[in-house]
Amino acid sequence: MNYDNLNKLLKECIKYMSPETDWRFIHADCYTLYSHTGAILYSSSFPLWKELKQTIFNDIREITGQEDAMITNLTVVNCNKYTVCHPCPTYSGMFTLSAAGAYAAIRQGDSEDKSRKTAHRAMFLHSPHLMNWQDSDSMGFYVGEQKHLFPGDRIFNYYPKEGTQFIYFNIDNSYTRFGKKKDE
Amino acid sequence: MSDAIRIFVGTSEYEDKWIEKILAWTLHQNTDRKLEITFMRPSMFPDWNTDGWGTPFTCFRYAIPELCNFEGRAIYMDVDQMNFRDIGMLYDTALEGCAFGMCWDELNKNPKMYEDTPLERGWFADSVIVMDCERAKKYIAPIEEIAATTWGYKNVFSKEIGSPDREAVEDTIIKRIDSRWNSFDGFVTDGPAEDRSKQASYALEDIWHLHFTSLSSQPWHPKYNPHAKATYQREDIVQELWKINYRVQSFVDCL
Repeated sequence: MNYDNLNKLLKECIKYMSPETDWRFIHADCYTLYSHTGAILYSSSFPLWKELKQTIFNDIREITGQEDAMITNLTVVNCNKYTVCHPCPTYSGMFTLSAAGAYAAIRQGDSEDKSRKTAHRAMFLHSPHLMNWQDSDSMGFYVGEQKHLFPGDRIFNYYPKEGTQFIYFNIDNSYTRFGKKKDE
Repeated sequence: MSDAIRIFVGTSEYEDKWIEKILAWTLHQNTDRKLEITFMRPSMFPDWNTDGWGTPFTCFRYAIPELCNFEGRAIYMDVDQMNFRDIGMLYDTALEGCAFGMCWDELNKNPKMYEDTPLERGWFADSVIVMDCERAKKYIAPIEEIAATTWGYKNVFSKEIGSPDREAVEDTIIKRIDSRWNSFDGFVTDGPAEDRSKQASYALEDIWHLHFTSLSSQPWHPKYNPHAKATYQREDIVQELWKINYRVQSFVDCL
């Protein structure tokens, strides 16, 4: 993964774009660069994104091992002390570029449905590092900086702090990179 | 009264700073005349009833004649716009006794009362208005009344000036101005069409003042905007916008 590209992209988004909202990252300054919801395909007109998009998408496919999957979202997120993150769904990940004490917890064994419910319930945590995550069959840890987090088919919680900066992405591996349903 | 061109811009408290800078920059860039730009923010109008407004600034524009003591001229514009031509030319438009100068939008869907009538579509768009503040007094309620209006004064005003009934009000109350002064995403708004996608478009060099009308596809997305994000259709316009944005930001960085 070329982190120089990601760092440059994050820095320039914050400097040159107008901050936006995203329901996943409440009260953060977000910059949606790519969103493919099935019905609507949106790609930001931000010039640096246009320049780096394909390289970053190729890198994501490579590091996640999802070489022929469709990337459905890429959002730059600049957190403040009020930011709360919704649980991140399966096949989503983050490049944490500035951790600032951010913490994450990956749901290990439960079914996706049960994991989602418990992860939503855990959104409220003020001090996630004090939680005994093993008791809920989960793994909690301080997030590394300039590293990616991609737990594949497991849901995870992400607890940012003021100054946490990351790039979120989501993959739908039931579609090919060209948008064709795989089982068709 | 100063000889500056008075421009009032309807905007939010802080969510539109990005496009405010671009609008102000382009207005100054394209004229040699002195501009007196007032950003009309919610904090300027405390206690207004804003229920049902589509933006944080929807009805502030109707306060302009009174804010100007019903004297002289003023231009109103929404914040989501970018200028390409000397705004002094718009300011000097001969209103010929009319209170307002506005562009005709052939496709605007008018309120329910006009449904199934010849006035179902089309109105004088209120997103760019040249106002003769003295003459406008006759058609606009006092500020206290506008501020207290439930579900917005917009439709009250539109009805008051007969906005959808072009034949009745053109050249008496409203002077129709060239639609290049309020080009919705590059479209020729007063051109005949069944829907916007089939309407003719101006070449970039023919647009005098651009309005990024479609909230979903604006190349920036203010935080109050609940709409889904869509890609902007005119690549030439969007390239121009980013070019200006880089210039503006470089200028801000120098300060």
